[in-house]
Amino acid sequence: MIRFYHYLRGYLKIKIWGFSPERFINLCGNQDILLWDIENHEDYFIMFISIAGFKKLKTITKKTGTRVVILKKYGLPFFYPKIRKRCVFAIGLFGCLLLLQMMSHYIWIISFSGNQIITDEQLLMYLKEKQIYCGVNKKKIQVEQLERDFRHDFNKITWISAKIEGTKLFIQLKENDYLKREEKEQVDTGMDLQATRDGTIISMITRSGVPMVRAMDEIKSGDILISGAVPVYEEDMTVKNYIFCKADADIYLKCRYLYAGKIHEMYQYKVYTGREKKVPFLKTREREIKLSLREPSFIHSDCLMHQNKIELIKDFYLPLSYGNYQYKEYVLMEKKYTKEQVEKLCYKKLEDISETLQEKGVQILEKNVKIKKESANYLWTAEFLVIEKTGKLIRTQTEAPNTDQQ
Amino acid sequence: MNRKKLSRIKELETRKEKVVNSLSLPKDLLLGAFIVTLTGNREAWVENYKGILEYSDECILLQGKMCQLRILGKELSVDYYTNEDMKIKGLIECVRYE
Repeated sequence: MIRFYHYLRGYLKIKIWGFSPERFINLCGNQDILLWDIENHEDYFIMFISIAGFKKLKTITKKTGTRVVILKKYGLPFFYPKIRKRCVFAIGLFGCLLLLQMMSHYIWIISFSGNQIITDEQLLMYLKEKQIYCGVNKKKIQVEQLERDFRHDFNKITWISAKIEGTKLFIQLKENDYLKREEKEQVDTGMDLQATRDGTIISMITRSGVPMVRAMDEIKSGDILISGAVPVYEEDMTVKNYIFCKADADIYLKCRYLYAGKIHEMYQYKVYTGREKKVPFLKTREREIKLSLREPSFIHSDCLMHQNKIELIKDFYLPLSYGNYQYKEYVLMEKKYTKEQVEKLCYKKLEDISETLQEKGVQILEKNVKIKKESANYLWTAEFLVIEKTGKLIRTQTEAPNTDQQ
Repeated sequence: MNRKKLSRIKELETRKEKVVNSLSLPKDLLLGAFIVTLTGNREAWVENYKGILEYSDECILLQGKMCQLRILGKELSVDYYTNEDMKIKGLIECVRYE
């Protein structure tokens, strides 16, 4: 704090030498002149003194017969005249600070986290409808209201938190995997379970609805497996009415999946020449300025974009990005696949398919692959024998009997 | 003559001390005694001095109202110096009244 005060008032580093430096220090003390960091260098003394104190030194130096030399000047009073000479720079600096201050009132980045089903684009579109976008004034955003709106308009969102950090609007949310409301609406009309594939039923456990098939039955795609209309019988075993419900059952089906594809025996691959070119750019929200006069004259090239948002301090983003396009030249070469390579490629594809099937909860019992060469192509077919859970909910076809006629 | 003068000064001082003691007044103000505050052997803060008589790396001699104070040590330097107080930094080995 004292140092800052000294800086504001300005101070000097001086060197004194002569007949009696001790007397010089004493007289300074008597005249209330503050001296600090006094160093003794045998023949001379080096110390710091305030500007006001330095102005009083004339009589003291005369009395003591010492000589004083200024070694260095510190502080704002010495900095100010320099700035005055560079008037435009000072105005620019002031303008820059003013601009920064003004910029800090706006939102320059919107980020989301926790969304898996709802995409960022959907959320951004929704925000745009609510007049919230990059460049909007922070005052216009009412965070609590925004959270309420989100919860109301997106059924999937179970929890949401929005906060403004610097110039960044940060929205965290959690989603629900299924929609309870929609289900409730559909339950009133009754839902059937329909087969999605051909196959044999291995096992079935019905929780609600009337089973239309049994285990070990052969079924075809589109067959109704469980009916959502539960009949209520009269005494003469005629249907009096139906109670509609949502059919629910675990039905496991043994079925076959068939995949086929072809691989051309010739393939192209890239050989990088090693020639590279970087084109720097500056980007605002809508415009992009490339800081190069010529585009690279490569026939084939990969383009990598490196982009950085300008962040002055933490979470203080400006609507400016910088970066570069990195062009890497390559030449396309052609080569023929060997049989081993084709086999490898096929197995890789099969692995991918079986992985996606397993992710769906499908149990693979068998898999058969056939590779056949036909002119310039390799044809492959793959057959999977699997057990999977089947059943798709559809609106029930059964209609309630007309009770008016009775 | 000198002896008489000296004895009179001593008498005056003892009388002054007695008055200050009996009235329990601050001794540093009335008697002009040094106030030396030592922080370990690295720092000394001195008040109630009249001036600096000698200043070198190994010795700082201060003039008080009644006596002189000699601070001996190594790499001694004055951190700041005003009419009221001063701060001495360095490796202090000895504080002596003369």
